[in-house]
Amino acid sequence: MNKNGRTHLVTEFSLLGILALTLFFALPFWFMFVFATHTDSAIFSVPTPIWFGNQLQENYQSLLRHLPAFWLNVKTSLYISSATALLNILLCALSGCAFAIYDFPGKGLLLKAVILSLLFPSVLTMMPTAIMVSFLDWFNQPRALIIPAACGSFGVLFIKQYIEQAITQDMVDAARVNGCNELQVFRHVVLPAITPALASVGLLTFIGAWNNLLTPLIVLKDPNLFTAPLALRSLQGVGAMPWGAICLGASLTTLPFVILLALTARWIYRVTYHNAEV
Amino acid sequence: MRYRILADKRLIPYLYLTPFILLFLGFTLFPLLYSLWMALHLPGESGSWLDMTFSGLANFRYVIEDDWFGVALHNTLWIALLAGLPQHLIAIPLASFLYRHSRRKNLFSLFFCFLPYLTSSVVIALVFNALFSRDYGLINQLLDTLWQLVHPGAPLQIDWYDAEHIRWLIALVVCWKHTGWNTLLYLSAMRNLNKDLFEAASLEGAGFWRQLVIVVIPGIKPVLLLALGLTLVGNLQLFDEAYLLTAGTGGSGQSGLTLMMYIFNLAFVEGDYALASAAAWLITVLLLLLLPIVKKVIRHE
Repeated sequence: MNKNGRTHLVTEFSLLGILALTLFFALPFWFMFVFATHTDSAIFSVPTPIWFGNQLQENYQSLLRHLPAFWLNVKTSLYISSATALLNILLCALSGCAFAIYDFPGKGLLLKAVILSLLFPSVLTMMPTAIMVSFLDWFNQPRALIIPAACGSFGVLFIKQYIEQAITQDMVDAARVNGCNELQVFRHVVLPAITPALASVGLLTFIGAWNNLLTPLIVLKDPNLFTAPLALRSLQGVGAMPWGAICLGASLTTLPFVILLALTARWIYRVTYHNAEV
Repeated sequence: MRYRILADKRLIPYLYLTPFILLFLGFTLFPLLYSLWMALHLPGESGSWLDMTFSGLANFRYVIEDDWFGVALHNTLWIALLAGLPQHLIAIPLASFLYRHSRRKNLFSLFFCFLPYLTSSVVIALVFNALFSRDYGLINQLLDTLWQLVHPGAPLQIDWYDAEHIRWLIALVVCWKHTGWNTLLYLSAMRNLNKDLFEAASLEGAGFWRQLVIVVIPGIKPVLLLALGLTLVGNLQLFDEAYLLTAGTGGSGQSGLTLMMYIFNLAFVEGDYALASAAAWLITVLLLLLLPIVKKVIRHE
């Protein structure tokens, strides 16, 4: 009885701890959305507002005043991220398939080179890439961000691993015996089996490209062609910062991810720990 | 007919791999070699990046003797430790709790804990900028209120952007952003734990924290070491948060300057790609020295 009571108390305390942690992670987002609806002076008044205000319209106008190309920037970001994700899905699937179900001269050497290259930090390629971008005259062009990232080595190795686990050589041979040519093997045997892996590659490259700061900082110079994060950053340090407008811009670029995560949370939950029950 | 199919089958993998090989050679292998070449050369008379004179290790010596490199190394290690450890100290118990009490409402905690990881670091830095503002920021208001409970009439005003505090702020933001990722990593590692061990432990009267020490941590040890290694390697390459929170300046007294910012400044502010490449290779050596440790861990697993 006594012990039972104590266990309950401990559980209550843990729940309180979890609640505090959840607040720690969630509150900055809450204040971002709340600040987006207040004037700059209200944001820094005592006490800080904790509920929505009525300045949304004004902040939106202020945002467009400070960043006339805001929606163009969002469009650029969307274009760069989706193009990178789609190219990665296609090219990683093809290369992963080539590595996983074919034997060809040079395969071992190529794989070794790819794995070895992953050990080197990306900072090494930063300067040469800048020189190449200027040599190709790719400054201010989305392709300077899309093409170098079009087929990540991690993605290729991940898909290769996935195909090796999902598909046996027998399945490939059976398809060939039944009259599939190589392209049909890829299309009808490999692709359907690796859809979840391709979804992860697409999602991760999309998020990575959207949040990339360093490369856009180097290759994009024209504010009209900035990505959305770069445009928001350009508001930093311009005298009096329009905080309401900044928080509104931040909210607008974050909201899609909140929704995306809310939609996929169940899936992540199932993958990461409902399988534990099996 | 037979021969055509055979020929096709031999060509197919190369056909599939052509885009990858071209991109790999052009944007990974060539830049790697080129940066090594640049690190060993000095800009020539013409100032072109193709016509340079060989200088041996002069660039490396310059970087090592540069005071700012030492400052950046110190800051980076300091932030790496301060941001790295709390991530895991929070993530392990959190993951363990979510694993033990797999209730639907706990999905909320997982959701909010993972959200920062998906959010652009620009957004995060700007929001924290507003919350940690010196004069009327929310955090300083709260701290001041608490402080005045103990010391009435003595206002407390911390400038989070001065030389003393900026590293704490950077570390806090990095920790806040990456805890969710580690929690997810640990949750997936806990799938392999033996459930009976928990039963046995609770029959012995072990509570949540005791079970954490005797059941969970030994069970996830390989993943734990791997995650610590990944955090360390990631933190040594810290750029975004430090760059954004100091508005690209490194902060007062350069106490927010990280190694990556140091290289970025050498290359794109001062325009010296050769020195920047040398500094980048020095960091690479530092990271590769950590590699045997990571390798040992993976073999252990």
